[in-house]
Amino acid sequence: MKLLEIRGLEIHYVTDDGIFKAVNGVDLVIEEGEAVGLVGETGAGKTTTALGILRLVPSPPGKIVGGEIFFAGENLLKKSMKAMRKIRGAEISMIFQDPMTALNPTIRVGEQIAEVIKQHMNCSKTEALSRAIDMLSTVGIQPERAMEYPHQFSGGMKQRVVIAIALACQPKLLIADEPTTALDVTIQAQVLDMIHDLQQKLHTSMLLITHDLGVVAETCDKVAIMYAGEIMEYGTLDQVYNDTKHPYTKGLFASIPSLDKKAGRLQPIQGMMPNPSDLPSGCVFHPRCPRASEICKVKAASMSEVSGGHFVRCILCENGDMEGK
Amino acid sequence: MAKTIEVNRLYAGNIHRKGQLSEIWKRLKKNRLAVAGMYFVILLLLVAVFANYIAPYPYDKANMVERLQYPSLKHWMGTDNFGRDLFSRLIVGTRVSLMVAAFAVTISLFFGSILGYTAAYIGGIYETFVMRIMDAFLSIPSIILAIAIAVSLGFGVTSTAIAIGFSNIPVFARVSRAAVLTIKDNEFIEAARSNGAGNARILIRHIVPNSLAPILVQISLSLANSILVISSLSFVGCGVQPPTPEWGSILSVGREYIGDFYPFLVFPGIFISVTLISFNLFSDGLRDALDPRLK
Repeated sequence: MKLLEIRGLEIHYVTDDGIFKAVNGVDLVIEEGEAVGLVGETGAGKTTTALGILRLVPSPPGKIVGGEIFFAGENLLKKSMKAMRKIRGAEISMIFQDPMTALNPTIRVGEQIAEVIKQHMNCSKTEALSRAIDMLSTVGIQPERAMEYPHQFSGGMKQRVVIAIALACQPKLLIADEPTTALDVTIQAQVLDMIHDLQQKLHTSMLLITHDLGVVAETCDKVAIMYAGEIMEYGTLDQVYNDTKHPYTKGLFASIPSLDKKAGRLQPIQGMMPNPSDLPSGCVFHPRCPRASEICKVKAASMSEVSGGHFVRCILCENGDMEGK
Repeated sequence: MAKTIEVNRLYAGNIHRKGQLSEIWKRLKKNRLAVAGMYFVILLLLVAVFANYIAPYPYDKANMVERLQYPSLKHWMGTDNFGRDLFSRLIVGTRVSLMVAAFAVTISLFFGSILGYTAAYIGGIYETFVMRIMDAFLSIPSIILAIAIAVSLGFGVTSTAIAIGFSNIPVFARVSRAAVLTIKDNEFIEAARSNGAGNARILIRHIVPNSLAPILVQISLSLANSILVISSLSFVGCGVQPPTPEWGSILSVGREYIGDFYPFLVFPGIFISVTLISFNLFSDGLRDALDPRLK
């Protein structure tokens, strides 16, 4: 069953310097219990998409200008702010990038978890706190530490607390916005494993935002590649990783250094991300695409399904030219 | 039930409960001058509360026989032009000054922080509107503003407090707005919002506790400043009116005896300046102690 379905989502930031088109017609489906990775460069619109789902795009200047977001069959964009508040934290919750600043320094961690529980479930303070302590042990922190302040925790521990807060009300959808970027590599692995385990155990759907294809490979079922506010390729891990279609995705894989081959230089994708206030005509990727032809400059490609559930936004695939390699 | 016991045990047995206060105290203690200032402020408070018991004579008991006496064992700080004991008058004056200052700061804190918090939190045209008005008020010297308000309200203890309180609102509005602006964009505010917290909860639970430090310091500084302004207002005759003893008004009467009779000017002057110095030293130390990044 579809838990989340985004159709044609468009989010713009309207400023004095122009309109920044952060998200341009994103379509995305997350099934119940499924983990989807959203991968892209900095500025591709990943976080804006996530904030859009929660209707938390900072406004002004941000504005959701088009599209629909269906969550459990209801259009979130039509809901009142009050109804959204009931959904945030209880049905959909979010893990933020930097655990150092994502916790309130003046409130004990146990109470910060209890706060969310108290807000969404009708229960007493003690009850909420004891549930909070349960959550803490779920994420591997001893109950004794519930009464400590965030500054007494290490970065990895703080991120565990953030995860505990996010999962405290057993949401149906968890949005993890680069949950491990601010942590060092060994802790990254621990935290990712934990997120993965909890997601499986609680049968929560997850949208994992990252720019690390390796992280996605370990934790997700499906992956969406985002570029300049558009989804370029979407499919199962196997489809996208082993049957890569889009030139951008190929470029991403080509630029990952290999562990077992000795390589001189990395192979980057030529050029830079376009400025979202001045996107190129036609296909947004054409100025950097090694396989761009004249038609790419004028005609934007639409999503085409190359095999069951594998979608690619490229003119090459539209024409049935799928040799790819 | 077992859960309740567990929670209670955590609360009771927790050694970190008083963590933050004791940390602040530890840092404050390092600054000897600030601690000295703090003790003097506490002493002043005690004096103000127990003024009636400390003062050796009633503050308004005139004795024309003993007028304008120099300090002696009987009158520690001499007597004034009506033969009233200066020490007693200054002690009772402490109470007047502190009460008026406290009342004034309460007024400015209340209105100023509401304006500042809402301006920073709501932003937009509202913020511009409020802050420009505050700027306009700030461009008028606060003593002149206070005189204007005091004159329009009529003289007396209450109107002095109101005058000073209102003239200080812009200061608190600015400080609290600045404090909120630095807190507002923190990720934990966004996180709270993503967990379904409403504006009221975010303000009360997340923004206020994290923005208190500069406001506390401003309270302390404003108390000192208010005491000075009260004295100045009384000195020019727009503040607390005789016979209520007030440091500034005692000085004002003493002005006529300048050059002839030193106690009339020196002792009120000492009270005012020592009080101000202590408050300022304490505020200074408090600011450092509340900001762990310094040192």
